[in-house]
Amino acid sequence: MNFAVVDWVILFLYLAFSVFIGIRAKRYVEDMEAYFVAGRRVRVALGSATLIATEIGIVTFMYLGEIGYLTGFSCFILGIIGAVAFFIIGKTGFIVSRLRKLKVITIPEFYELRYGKGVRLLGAVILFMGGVLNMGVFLKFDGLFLGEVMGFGVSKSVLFVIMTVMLIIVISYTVLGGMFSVVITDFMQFVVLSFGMFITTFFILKNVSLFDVANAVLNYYGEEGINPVLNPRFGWEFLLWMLIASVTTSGLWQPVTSKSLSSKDEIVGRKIFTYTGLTLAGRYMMPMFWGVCALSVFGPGVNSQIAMPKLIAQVVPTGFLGLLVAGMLAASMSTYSAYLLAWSSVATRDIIQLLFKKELGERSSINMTRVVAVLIGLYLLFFGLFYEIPTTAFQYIAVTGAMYTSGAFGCVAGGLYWKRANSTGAYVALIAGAIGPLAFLVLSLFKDFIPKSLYFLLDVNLSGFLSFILASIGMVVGSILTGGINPPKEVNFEK
Amino acid sequence: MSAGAIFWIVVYLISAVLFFVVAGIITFVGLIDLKFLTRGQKMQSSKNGNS
Repeated sequence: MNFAVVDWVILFLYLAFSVFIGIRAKRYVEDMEAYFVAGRRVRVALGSATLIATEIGIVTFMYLGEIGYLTGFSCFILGIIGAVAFFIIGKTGFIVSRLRKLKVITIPEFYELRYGKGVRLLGAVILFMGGVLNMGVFLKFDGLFLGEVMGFGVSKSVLFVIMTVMLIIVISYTVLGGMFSVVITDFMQFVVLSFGMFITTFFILKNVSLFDVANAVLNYYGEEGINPVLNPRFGWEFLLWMLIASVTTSGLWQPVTSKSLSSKDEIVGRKIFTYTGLTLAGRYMMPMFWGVCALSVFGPGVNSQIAMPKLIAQVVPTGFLGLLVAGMLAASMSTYSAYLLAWSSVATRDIIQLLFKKELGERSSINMTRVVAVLIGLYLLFFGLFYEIPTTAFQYIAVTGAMYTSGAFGCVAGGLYWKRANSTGAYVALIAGAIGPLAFLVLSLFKDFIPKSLYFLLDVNLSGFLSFILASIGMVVGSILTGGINPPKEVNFEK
Repeated sequence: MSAGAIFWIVVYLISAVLFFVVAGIITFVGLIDLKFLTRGQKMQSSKNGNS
């Protein structure tokens, strides 16, 4: 085992402190707006810290490290694309400003305002499915990372124990304190995870020379390791898909958007995106670089999912490992808490409440959200243990995200900026956006039985890219063809 | 070392430094924001309690 007593002490103190602070935040929860969007009182620096912390977890380190190990420097382009997307949103307020003005809590609420209840229900079901499938692999990757770095190994029983302990800790405070707990613990976790990233980068740079890293990329991957367009895992379709997905996901992904909806006003909401954009290239490239360093140290023959944590276990000395694992756990817990709250609030407010056709009171709504968060936690545990993903973790997360974001982009962007967008267009966009990614996920389970003529459906990049195009065409064609018999609803954004 | 490799290493180093500089500023200002958030909510709670 790599962990010494001092590492355990640091880790235990940190976890205990996190839970204590998170549960204490419960006293600020007075009403529904306080629970779901922290009373809409979040300012720029705090909002940026919580958004950065939400979007960094062990799973992010793992999939970015894996893609760095498999593709060399060429994956660094994804960091630049991500940063550009956040800048575009920050500068223009695209989507987030208007949603904030409407004071909605979840995106499906906007569907009802603009299109009607049916669209809200369908949109919420697709959002919930894409969201929990997307989150389904988080716990497993966390278990792989911690098992490898702490030296326990990565057997199923070890994964089960690590995953269960993490879930219990996060659920306990998210369920009780809602967005207040998420914001307060995210801030603390942001500080600890930044420190953990600094330690890791320092020890890796101390042990691996930049010259060796560059040589390893050129020796093993040649030009493909430098030029993303030539790399067979990427190519121009993937890069274009990522650019579109980054701009749309940034404004539409409920855990991210909820940070802007919690902000003091729409200008603060935009600034949160700009400041986060400044850090985005670094937060992508650092773990990618750790993965590239693992390639330089171990060569290309190691299991790509555990090459990066294996390197960390080798170069970070005892004593610092406790701090590092605390930092990484901080990163993950902040992601889980925000995602659990986001998906459970969508399930409660936009699915359960609509199906039962009666307004839940504020207390019942909060309690129902708590129950759903626990159920999602149980699903994560079993899905993570038994499901094998059909592609790299990065691409799996991108394609499950696209299941929702591609349709949502048509509905939300159309609804906010195009007067002729109507409910028929919204239904077509939501269904067309979900079909490609869903086909990829289902067919991947039966790939031995698929005729060769349908192999193109197993191309993850193509299915993700096509989903955006189909959803946008669906919104435009559906609205234009039925505009006469199904006139669009109007929403006043300036009130 | 090829020009492409040098380019990406320079981009990486700039991005990493930018991350830590912005993280430092956000940490400092975020502490003040955190006080604003919790104090404001406490006042809100006591107002609701009094009414």
